[in-house]
Parts: sequence; C-alpha cells; structure tokens
Amino acid sequence: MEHAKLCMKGEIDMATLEIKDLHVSVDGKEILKGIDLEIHDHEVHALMGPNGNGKSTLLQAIMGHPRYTVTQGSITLDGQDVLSMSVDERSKAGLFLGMQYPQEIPGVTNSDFLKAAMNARLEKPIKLFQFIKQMEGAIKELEMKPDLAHRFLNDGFSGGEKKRNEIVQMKLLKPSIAMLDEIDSGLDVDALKVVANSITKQKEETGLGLIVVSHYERFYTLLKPTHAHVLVDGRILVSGDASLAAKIDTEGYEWISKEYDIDLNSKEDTYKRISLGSCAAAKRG
Amino acid sequence: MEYIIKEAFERIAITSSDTYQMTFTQNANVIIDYDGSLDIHWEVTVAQDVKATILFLNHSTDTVTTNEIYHVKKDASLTMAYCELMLNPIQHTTKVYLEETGAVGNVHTATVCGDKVSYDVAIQHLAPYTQSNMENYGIVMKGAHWDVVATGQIKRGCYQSKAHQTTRILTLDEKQNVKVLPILLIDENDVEASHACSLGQPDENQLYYMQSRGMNRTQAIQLLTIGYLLPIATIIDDETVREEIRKEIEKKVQLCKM
Repeated sequence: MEHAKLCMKGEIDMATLEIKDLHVSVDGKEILKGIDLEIHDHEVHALMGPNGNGKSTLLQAIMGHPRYTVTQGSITLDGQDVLSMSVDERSKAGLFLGMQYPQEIPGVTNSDFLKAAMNARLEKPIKLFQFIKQMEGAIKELEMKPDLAHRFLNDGFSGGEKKRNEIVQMKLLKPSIAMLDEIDSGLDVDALKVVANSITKQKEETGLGLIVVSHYERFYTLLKPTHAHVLVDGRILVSGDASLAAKIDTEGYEWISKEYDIDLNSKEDTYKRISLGSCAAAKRG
Repeated sequence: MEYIIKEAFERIAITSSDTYQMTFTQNANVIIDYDGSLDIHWEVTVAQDVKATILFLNHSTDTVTTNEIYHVKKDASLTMAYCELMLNPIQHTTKVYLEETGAVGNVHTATVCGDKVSYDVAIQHLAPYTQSNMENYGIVMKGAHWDVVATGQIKRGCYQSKAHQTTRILTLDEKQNVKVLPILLIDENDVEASHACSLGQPDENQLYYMQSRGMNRTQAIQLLTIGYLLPIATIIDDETVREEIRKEIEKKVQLCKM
C-alpha cells in the first residue's frame, strides 16, 4: 500500500530512497554526472554546494519535472522504480518536494487544493470535519493566519508564507521522504524555528526521511542532519555527518576546491553570450 | 415587463423573450434564472446611493441573445455577473453608463464555452470619480468560438475615474477560435486605466506543481478550470447560492473532456 495511505491510516511504513549513478540533462546539457545517494526514514541529509551545481536539479529529477531528462542511472523508493512513475504517482508513492519557488494559482483555494491532493491518494474522500481539523492543526502549528485555507494558493503570499505553506502541505500529505529546496529562504529567525520544529515533529511522528538543501547552518543546526553531502559540478564530492555542514559554514567551499583540485568558479556555459536588439513589438511594427 | 426591486434578495425566472425594465431603489441582490430560446432586452436603473448586485444564471440549452443597458446614478454601485455554464450559443451586448459622480460598475463573466459565445461589453464613464472593473474568465472547449469585445471609455472631464479590465481564457484544445479585443478609450488625463489578458492552454508549471502533490493531469486541469470559474460564486452574498453555483461548476467541469 502507498506510504501516504498507510500514514493517513496511522500505519507508519519504513522507507528507503536509493539513487544510483544518476545522470540528468536539461536542454541537452548534462547537469548531474553520476549521483549515488541513499536516504532512509528518520534520516536528515543536508545537501550543500555552491549555486548552480545541481542541487535543485537533483530534487526536481527525483520528483519527475518534465524538463529534466534522466539519461543514466536509477532511482528506487522501497525497491519501486521511481523513474517509471508519473509525477503524481511519485507523490502518492511517498515523495514530496517543498519547492524553492512554489507556484501561484489564482482561483484555487488552499483548502480545495489540499483536499483534492489528499483525496487523490485515498480510496474514499476525506470527511470534511476530519480535513478541516487536520488543516487547522497544520495552520496553527506553522503559526499562519487562520484565513490561509480560504486564500488562493500562494497568490499574493509573501516569500515566507509560501514556504510555510509548503510545510502545511507536507504535514497533510504525510510523505515518507521529503525534499526541501531552500525552504528556509524568505523566513525570518522566528519563522525558521517554527518551520524547523514542525519538520522535526513530523519526522518524529512519521519517521520522515529528509533531503534538505540550504545555504545556512542555522537551519541545519535546528534540523540536526544525520548526513551531509557537498554537490559540486554534478557530483557528490564529499559526504559526512553534521560536522561537515558546520565546517562549510565556517570555512566555505574553498578547502574542497584545494583538496579536490577543482576550480569552483569555472563553470562552462553558465552565461551564454547574448545580443541585445529591438523588441518583438518593434520588429512587427 | 417592469420590476421594481423592493426586497434585499430576489430571484426572478425568465423563460420568454420580452423587454424588461428593472429599477433598484434600495440595496439588493437579484438572481435572474433564464431558460429557453430567448431574445431579451433589458434596461436597468440603479438609483442614487444604492448598491445593486445582479447574477444571471443560465439554464438554457438553446440560443440566448440579450441586449442590456444599465444606468448607474450618483454614488450608486452596480455589480453584475454572468454565470454561463450551459455550453449553448450566447450573445450578450451590454452597455453600462456611469452617469453621475461616484458611480461604480463591475461586470464579471464566467463561461464554459462549448458553442458560439459572444460578449460585447462597454462601460462608459460619463462623470468624474467613476470606477469600473470588468473581469472575463472562461474555458473554451474543442471547436468552440468565443469573441470578447471589452470596452472601457472615459469621456473628457471625467477626471479621477478608474477603468480596469482583465480577461483570462483557458483553452483545452488546439482547435478552437478565440478573439479578445480589449479597448480603452480615454479622453481625460487625470485617470487610471488598465487591461490584462491571458489566453492559452493550462500552465505546465502549475500543472507540475499540482501533480507533485498527487493529482493526476486530468484532476489538476479540472481544479485549475474550477479556479477560473469559481470566483463568480462569491458575487452574491448568500451561502446557499454560492454552494449551488459551486456544485454546478464542479458538475460541469467533471463532464467536460480535459
């Protein structure tokens, strides 16, 4: 039975996400060049690395974003082939991606969206009372305004509200493995604690396994990673425990550059040459 | 036929072609349920300081043609909405005259277009400090035709007036015909005016986001579609009516091929 169904029924499942030799291209350009990673329930993996080296690509590829093409390797969740699943099947299998830039969808209320998402993974639609209770509980825990349920999805939300709303969704959908892509950006110090406490609570209650991308040690200190990885130029160069995240916070990535003889600043084709010309409207005119 | 609106909430059924006149002398919400093959002429007056809301609920499967004129007096407010979910041929020609200072005119349309639909809506600002807002939201099915002409006109001397309009149309196939013509005719400098228009197939990023939460593509498109239409239900401040419209929208969207 799918993990979310078991969680919603109160039966917690074990989970293992296994990534082997993963190569991913975007628009014909290889971004990930052989990733190996294994995440189990109850584990928190800090995924670090300089900007533009493939962290978000990895998370989006696991979730199945159509723009990202897996050219080699495998991803399995509890032995099931994730790559053969559609995006919604991946979600129902127990994966969750808290996005760096959550979409705004005017006209669709948060409550309608979440109810539809929950019902999509249940045999019988959730009872209204039960849904309201769960949603209000999550909103309260994330210290959001009570009118959140009736607002259009992320429409007009501040950056921090959007990120907290991602966690509200995670609380209700009860995944087995959650990937959080810079979920701490846009959050003030107090909100950061609220979000981190909520994530930790869910981990303790459901055995949630986490991959967390962040640039800030403060967030990792609150989440207490069990593992840490540094992703550079599409490969995981260094893996370790929480002390690795602390080291990067104090020393940056320079020591990796020296140790592995890699120039972190030279990335081919990062900026393509462009020319400025007249706009389309002018051309038509 | 003439109606003088005396109750705060009235529901009127129209089933025959005729000329109708309606006068609002107190704040009121009116729902007009219309059915059958119709050719209707409306003339509505909203008296000074009165707030009037009119919701047209279409139940017809035949051709419906309307010619409507609205007069909005000093500091009066008219909000009107067309809830068109029946996939039948429709032609609305609507003129709203904001005749005296402080007059407000809002026109909302929510349409599932499965045949030939035409809206020609014009709001004229004839006095200073008048405001208008036009919002056209709709879904166009395979093979359907939809023409929208949305005109906001601010005449000379109507300073501090505001005319805004938004048109958002979701197409569910590659074979349909949609024409949107937003027009702003401005003869005065000290005013605000804007139009926004989006027309096209469902946003792939939005669909991906929804699918990443467990909905399949069809469910995601259906929810997105409901989102285009549902705001019309909030026009009338009555929970029973809202629920009725909501259920009708959900039913209609379920029936549409996505």
